[in-house]
Amino acid sequence: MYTIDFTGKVVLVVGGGTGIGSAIARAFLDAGADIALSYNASKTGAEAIAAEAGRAGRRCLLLEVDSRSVPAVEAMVDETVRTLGTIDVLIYNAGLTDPQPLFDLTEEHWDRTLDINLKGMFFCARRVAASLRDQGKPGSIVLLSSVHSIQAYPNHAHYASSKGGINMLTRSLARQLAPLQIRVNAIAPGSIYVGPQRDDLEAILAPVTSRIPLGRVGQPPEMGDIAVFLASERASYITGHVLFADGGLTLPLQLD
Amino acid sequence: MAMSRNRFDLTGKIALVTGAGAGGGLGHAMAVGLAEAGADVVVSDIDATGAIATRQEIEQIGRRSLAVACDNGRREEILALFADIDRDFGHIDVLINNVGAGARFRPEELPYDDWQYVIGTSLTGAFLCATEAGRRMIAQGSGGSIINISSIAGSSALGRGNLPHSVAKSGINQMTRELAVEWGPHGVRVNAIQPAQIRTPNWIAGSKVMDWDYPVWERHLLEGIPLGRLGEPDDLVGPAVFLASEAAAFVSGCLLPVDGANLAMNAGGNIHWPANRQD
Repeated sequence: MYTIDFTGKVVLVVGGGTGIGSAIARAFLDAGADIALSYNASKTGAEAIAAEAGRAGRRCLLLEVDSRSVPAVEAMVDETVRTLGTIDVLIYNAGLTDPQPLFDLTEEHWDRTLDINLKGMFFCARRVAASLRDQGKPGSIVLLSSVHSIQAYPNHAHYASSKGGINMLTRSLARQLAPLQIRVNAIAPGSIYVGPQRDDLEAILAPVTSRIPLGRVGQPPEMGDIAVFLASERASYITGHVLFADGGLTLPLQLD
Repeated sequence: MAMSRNRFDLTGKIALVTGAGAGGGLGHAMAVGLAEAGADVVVSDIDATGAIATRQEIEQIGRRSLAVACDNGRREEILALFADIDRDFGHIDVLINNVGAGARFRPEELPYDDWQYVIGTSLTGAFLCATEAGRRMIAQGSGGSIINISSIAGSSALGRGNLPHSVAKSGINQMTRELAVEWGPHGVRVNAIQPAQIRTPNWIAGSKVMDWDYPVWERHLLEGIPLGRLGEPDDLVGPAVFLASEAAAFVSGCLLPVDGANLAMNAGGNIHWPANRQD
């Protein structure tokens, strides 16, 4: 039978209190993992996942972290290793989407987005890689990119730049960490609906879904399945890849 | 057992894997892998004996199978293959377009017939299988998953006599993306896998026949593979099952390298023909 089993493995999900990060955390719980979960604003969501982990008999470490701070993300990695013994898998999902009209985009906007999305990611991933190196273990890192990494949309200069940087960071880390048998890949989600269910959802989303070849938006659990696959031994020869999970959104020319 | 909802389960799915008759080959590994994930698997190969051996292996796992002798370079044989599937299964959920051909010549010396052979078998044959499968998937109304086996050569100019192979595989890449756009509305997902060098018996034999110093050749290849090893057929199984399954339900038009980071460092090609290079 084809299964993926993370029993006994520790997965650190950075930015796991809401949306895609929460879904990825749940997918790893479903696959048997112990998890550490960082959140910034979404304490309630993070506590809900911790409760689910507890009911499943799994360890779950909650960490309130401002991912803009390099000392904070490094301390987060260190505390996870100290408390749970190791980190086998890093999922870096923390990210800020803060659209700003081009001529209103300030240095503060730019720095906040780049610091969370890219700087925090690099220093977090490097700290996890160092801990794997020190423990002499292989591992897997999955970074969250976006379709914005290759498609330009209005009001997203800073966000798009951060995501484009993530794609190259993925390749650069993959090449440099491969000798340590640490694989690094990214998921680039397209339009994933993270809001509440409502009756008129189909009509509201119609302008979005009409641009997607598969004819629908994605669901957060689908990102969880992909993350579990990429992190697993089933993907043991895949590294340095940015996997687009967008229902085909980025394939055809998009007008308007 | 872990995973309360096994989204990688292929139970009840009917798959066709082309070129799955060579024991130790990619098609064979993926066909058996799909069967172990729960699928019934039709096996085609130009070698009937090999196809039957793979069929028997799949039946021993407890899945239904069918072995069909088929030359992927002949349209009438591909049409007959799908007629056999219609007759015995009446349904198809997954196609793995695995057949590939090669002809290693310096471009200025490449015979016309060899060009036609490679393009006809690797690209036109894959197109015919994809459209035969896609037409059925559309009519069934339940979607499907088509997985085209491309190569790093589809993105990277490898040199060393890879011209027709690279052109066929780059065609496979764009066919993947075009079909993903065209058939997305029908729920038919189309993706490709781009392997680097995989140590199949055929690949090893092909590498040795070229009068190249094999250890030098392998060391040269490994310079372009950060993970530090060549691929094994089993490396393709996880990605194939993933793309075939519900776990990849929102993934379409994707070209997935299984290459130990070769494309990430963009190191596929080399201007040297490594004829007993000592470096």
